[in-house]
Amino acid sequence: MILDERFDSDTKMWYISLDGEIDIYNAPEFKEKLHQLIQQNPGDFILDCDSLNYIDSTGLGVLISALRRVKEYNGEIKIRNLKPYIYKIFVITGLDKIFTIEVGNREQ
Amino acid sequence: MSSDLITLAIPAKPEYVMIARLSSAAVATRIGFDVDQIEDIKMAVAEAIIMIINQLTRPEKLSISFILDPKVIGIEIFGEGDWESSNISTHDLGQAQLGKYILSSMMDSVKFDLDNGTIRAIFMHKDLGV
Repeated sequence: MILDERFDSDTKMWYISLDGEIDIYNAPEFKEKLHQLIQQNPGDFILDCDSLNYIDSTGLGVLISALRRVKEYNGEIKIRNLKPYIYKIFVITGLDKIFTIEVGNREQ
Repeated sequence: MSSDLITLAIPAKPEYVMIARLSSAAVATRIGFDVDQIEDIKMAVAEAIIMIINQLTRPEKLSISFILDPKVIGIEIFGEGDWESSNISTHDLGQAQLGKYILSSMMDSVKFDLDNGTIRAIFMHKDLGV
């Protein structure tokens, strides 16, 4: 789920690596962890999804919930390196419009 | 040619959704769907199950039936347990909407068996398309 987390105090940015699957089973734990990081250091988030293989609507719900909290202090969540079939889910649900999604160095 | 039927019964708990998802991949592979189509079917099965689990106040069992035709997969998912539509939070409704978008995009047809606005069962199918 969360493979690695690092906060850069200079840029006030969280770098989070996601891996494996985020589904209805582990989404509550994922939510608790993200909210804990937001509380710990309210910064922007970069989610690296290079090793993320699957996310369902409960996982997407967690990301939306985190984005709401981050927006409260005018922060943002950027999502990087989505696999094509996961990026498709973001497009289908319209979430590509509310998250900043980057493919490699190119923003979509 | 008659259809083949594969039925899977699992406890209606989040930790078992993966079993249904992976089983759907095996069934879809048997029919001949390609990798992208299999991902669609896996995703749809999981989302349908999530929708039903989220409407059960006391989840008991899920029955998932795969109907295999030479070029079509039909999937029927029924939930057993106590249902209480008023139990669904606004958050769950938003998430259910995400699930519906995903379902309708991944499958060729999706039908909901509704009772007072509560989803009791979901029927869907996908054509091989060749």
